Amino acid sequence: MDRPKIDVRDLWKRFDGQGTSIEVLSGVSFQVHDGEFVCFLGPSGSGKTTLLQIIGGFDAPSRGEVLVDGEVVAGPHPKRIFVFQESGIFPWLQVRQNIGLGLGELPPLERKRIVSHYIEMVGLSGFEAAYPHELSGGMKQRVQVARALAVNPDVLYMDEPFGALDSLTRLKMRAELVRIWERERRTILFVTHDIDEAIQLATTVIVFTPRPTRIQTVIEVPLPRPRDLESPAYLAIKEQICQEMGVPLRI
Amino acid sequence: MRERTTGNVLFRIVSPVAVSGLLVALWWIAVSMTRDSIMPTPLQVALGFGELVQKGLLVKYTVASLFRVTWGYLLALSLGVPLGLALGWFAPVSIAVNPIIQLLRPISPIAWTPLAILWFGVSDLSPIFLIFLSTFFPVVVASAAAVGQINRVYVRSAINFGISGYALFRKVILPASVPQILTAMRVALGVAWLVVVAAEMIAVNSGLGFLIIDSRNAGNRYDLVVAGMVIIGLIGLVLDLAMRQLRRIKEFEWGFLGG
Ligand SMILES: Nc1ncnc2c1ncn2[C@@H]1O[C@H](COP(=O)(O)OP(=O)(O)OP(=O)(O)O)[C@@H](O)[C@H]1O
Ligand SMILES: [Mg+2]
Repeated sequence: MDRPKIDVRDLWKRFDGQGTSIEVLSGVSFQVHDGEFVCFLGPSGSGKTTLLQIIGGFDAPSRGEVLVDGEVVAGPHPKRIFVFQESGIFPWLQVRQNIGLGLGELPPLERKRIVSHYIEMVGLSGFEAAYPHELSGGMKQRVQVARALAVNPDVLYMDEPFGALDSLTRLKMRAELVRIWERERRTILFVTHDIDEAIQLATTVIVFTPRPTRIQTVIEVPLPRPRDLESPAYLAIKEQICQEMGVPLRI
Repeated sequence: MRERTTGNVLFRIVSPVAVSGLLVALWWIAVSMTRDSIMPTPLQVALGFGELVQKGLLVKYTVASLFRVTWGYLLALSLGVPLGLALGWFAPVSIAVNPIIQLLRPISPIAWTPLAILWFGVSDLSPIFLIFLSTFFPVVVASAAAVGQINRVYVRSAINFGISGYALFRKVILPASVPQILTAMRVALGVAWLVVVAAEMIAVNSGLGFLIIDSRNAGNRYDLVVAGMVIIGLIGLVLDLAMRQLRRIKEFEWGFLGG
């Protein structure tokens, strides 16, 4: 039994405007297995967000289909949670209410237990009753991640979730995400245009071409964790990706 | 923001008092220099104010005006907010209803006075109707705009977590729109307070607007006219200060940051 968790089959997407029409995806196919951590890497405007939104069920492809667990995706699903680049949490709800958003069906005590568990996991103890505007950018993203994890999702779709953060906070968030992923082994699809971020996180990196977008190459990252960012193996993979993307290694 | 508000409390109290005092003094000097027998001095206005209190007119007319504003305003909110939200959320409703709203909206509520009198006579209902009109359209338009401007990410997240239908409305559409609606409500109350005075000058025999027009017509009592104006200003100020407190609601503070 080796059915892929996510099966992306020949996706095409064009956006038609008045008199204009741009081809964003032109034949993207790949498979993701259960528990994999896949990073999408590609230049800005190449269609990574578009692709992830289609996989997440928020947008329809012009052609092709996405299967999750063997079923065609027709819309968003509460077991597959999208973590948005910014402002995904509700500013009118306290931290604990935001994290409990997807737990409405549960009895209050159970709900409270789960919320406390994830608040602690993402290091927000003491901020249960705070409103998002009282938090820093990194704390807000942690709330969003906790909100997603709280519903025990099979799959996380993360669209540059740490893109707006400073580099120190990003490093910490990555470490936390890896820790959570190692413990809970969800399937994660993670968009970034940061090469280091991709190599630090992923089991597999998919590199996209500029628009019209296809897969340029798929790179496995078999490095052991915790990953040593200065090990020769790490640097070799980085060099390979930089070459693929035409990025100079030295400036 | 904070730096300025806590800056110098003394200055914040003394300077407005000084400016107001200066204006009153100028007014006083101007009246005594022109020896105008109709235009009252501040002292005469203060005496007129006392007269109104003594006769019980001040309380009576203020209550009458506030009563009309309250009903017209609440009626407009209870119909206007839901209609606006529906316009913003359901495209078919918007297509059907929006044109007529856009047509009626630019008509000054005062222009409706003849119809109001025709339909409701010289009764409380006429000014209530005019206040309703003055508040209803701004609130509808602001509520619809608020929904239109909701960050799509909020709606998408909610749907992702399986929230849809009425729950989506209650948990996302409504709270996301509240700050803009609160702002519209505050502006609308100010407009309602402007309109009640105008309406009472034409359509009824009580209220602060009536006080002003009646004081002038019955013997050029300009001291009472100005006293009435001052009361209207003060009450308007209090109403606005009260509405301003709404933005302190912790849940909706996010909508007023930097405002
Ligand atoms: N709704 C839309 N209508 C029209 N064009 C769109 C729409 N959404 C995206 N596009 C276009 O599709 C292209 C890809 O956009 P997308 O947001 O997927 O890129 P991206 O790879 O996520 O870029 P970035 O790394 O900067 O976030 C862009 O050129 C954009 O202009
Ligand atoms: Mg993007």
